[in-house]
Amino acid sequence: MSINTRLLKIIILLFLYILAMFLLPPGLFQLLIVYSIWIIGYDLLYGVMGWLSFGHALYFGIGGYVTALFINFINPNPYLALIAGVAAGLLAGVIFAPIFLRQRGAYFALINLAFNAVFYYLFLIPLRSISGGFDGYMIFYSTTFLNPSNPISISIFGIILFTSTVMIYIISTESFFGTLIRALNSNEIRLRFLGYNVFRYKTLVFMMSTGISALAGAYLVLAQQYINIYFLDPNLSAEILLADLIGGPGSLYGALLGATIFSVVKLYLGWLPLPWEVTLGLTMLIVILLLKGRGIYNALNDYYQSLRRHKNYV
Amino acid sequence: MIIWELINGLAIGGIFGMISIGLSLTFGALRILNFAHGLFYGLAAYILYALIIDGLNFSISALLAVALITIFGYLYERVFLRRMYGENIDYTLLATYAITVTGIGIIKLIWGADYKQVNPPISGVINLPLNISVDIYRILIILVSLIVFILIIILFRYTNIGKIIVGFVENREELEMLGINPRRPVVIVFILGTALASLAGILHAPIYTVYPYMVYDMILIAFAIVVTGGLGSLMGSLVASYIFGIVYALISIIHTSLSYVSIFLLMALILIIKPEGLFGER
Repeated sequence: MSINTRLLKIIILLFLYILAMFLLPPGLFQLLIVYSIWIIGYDLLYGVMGWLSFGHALYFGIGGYVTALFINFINPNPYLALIAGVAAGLLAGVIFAPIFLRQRGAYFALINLAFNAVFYYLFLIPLRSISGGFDGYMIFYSTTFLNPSNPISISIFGIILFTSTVMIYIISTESFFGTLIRALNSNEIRLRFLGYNVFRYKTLVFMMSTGISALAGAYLVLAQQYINIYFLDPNLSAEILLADLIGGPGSLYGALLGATIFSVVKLYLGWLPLPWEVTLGLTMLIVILLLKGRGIYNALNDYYQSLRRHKNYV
Repeated sequence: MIIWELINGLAIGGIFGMISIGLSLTFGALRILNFAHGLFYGLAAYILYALIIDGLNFSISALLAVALITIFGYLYERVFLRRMYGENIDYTLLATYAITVTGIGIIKLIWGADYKQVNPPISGVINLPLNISVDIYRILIILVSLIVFILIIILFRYTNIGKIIVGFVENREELEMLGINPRRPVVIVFILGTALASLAGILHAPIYTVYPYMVYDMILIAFAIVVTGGLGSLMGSLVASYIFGIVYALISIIHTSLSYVSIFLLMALILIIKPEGLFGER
């Protein structure tokens, strides 16, 4: 694929998002932006590097809470608060990396969930005064551009954040660094033999993932002007995982497709008279068993490739 | 107060041990981390609650609950888990995780999301000299769990089927070369783990509150125990269970919600000092 077609694809992608901004109601569009940013962070870790995590709501919630607390107690400037939220996400990545990044697979997935649950309970009961519990609390800010009374400005700000996240994803996966982390997925030992400091690369990817997740949480706080304990709910971790599994882990377009499908599905299936977990779990089970965890995008891509190969053969 | 919590810790350690044995065995034998293991524990507690509400007495409902969950576990292995053998670990983890999320949803659908209370079958306090008092039900839990652990050790050390299971965990091909069908030990390991998890759920229900997310809580604790004890080491799991149980109980003197947190902090601490776990092999 040449540089031009790649660039064209990205421009079409951004065009579609800008189109969605005018077509969808602002609330739904902002939620789509949140899931799109978050899934890029999640996919860097799971799709590209192959480290499955069950607890990414932790970083999402850290980003959200630091942003909300920053606005309420330190400075009501939303931009500074957003930066503080992302910084907290990155910091969490640095602190947790030596404990979490020991072993891939079950250990990593569950220790993320364990710390997610730990923070959920800590914020729910002992730290209720700063988390607001289930009721949550409102935050107030207003600047000349970013203003809650003007939802379109928040949507535009979301598009800007989304574009920069997409750029980070593309630069980090298509460069030499991207080759390294994909190699980390397929054969870590060989990479270590080549003399690379594997731990440093893993930490870097983990930090990028936590930072981008925190960015998504921070943006959701700014968009809703509201936060509650739901930001740290372990079910939210299941949601982002499901979204990535629907779309297709390991590719930008697959992940974004997953985020889009999931936002729409969540809107409509939320009305079913079933508990949310039943819908979530059953959908996940069907997606996993049918697509073998490869996602719609990758499955379609495989099918397309096999058709092409077949044609060449004939 | 300290003695009371120490006894409580030993009781909770016994319950942790019963759950983590099943998790450790399935992980050792099948190389599958069965995330749905906590579901058996939670479902057992809920079935016990439902039967007691219907007017049955504690011991009959306990027996019925264990029997039902064991059958459920057998069906789960037969219908679902069997397809997972030899698959990629991420894939199996995802599939069992999805089952657990669905199961919690179904629990919420049937019984609601609020807290339920189950009364212990025997209540009362033994007063010892030196102003020490001990709860009878917790002593009962300690005794039951000790009997269970001794039976399991006898099973693995001295009986034929136990040796087959140990052989299966350690070297599967050699066992198949000896002409032993590997299906049987797998099914036995799984049913044993399920039965122990449901027993733990029943014993835990009266001294805990029954609520849907107990499933998550317990699978995470059991996982922390298995990792801290060393993957694939039964003895390590047992020792870690009692350590965690006592820490869990003692920390709850300070604040109840801190006890859950302390388990994972302790796990992180132990893993930093000894990355392979207490009894693990490098």
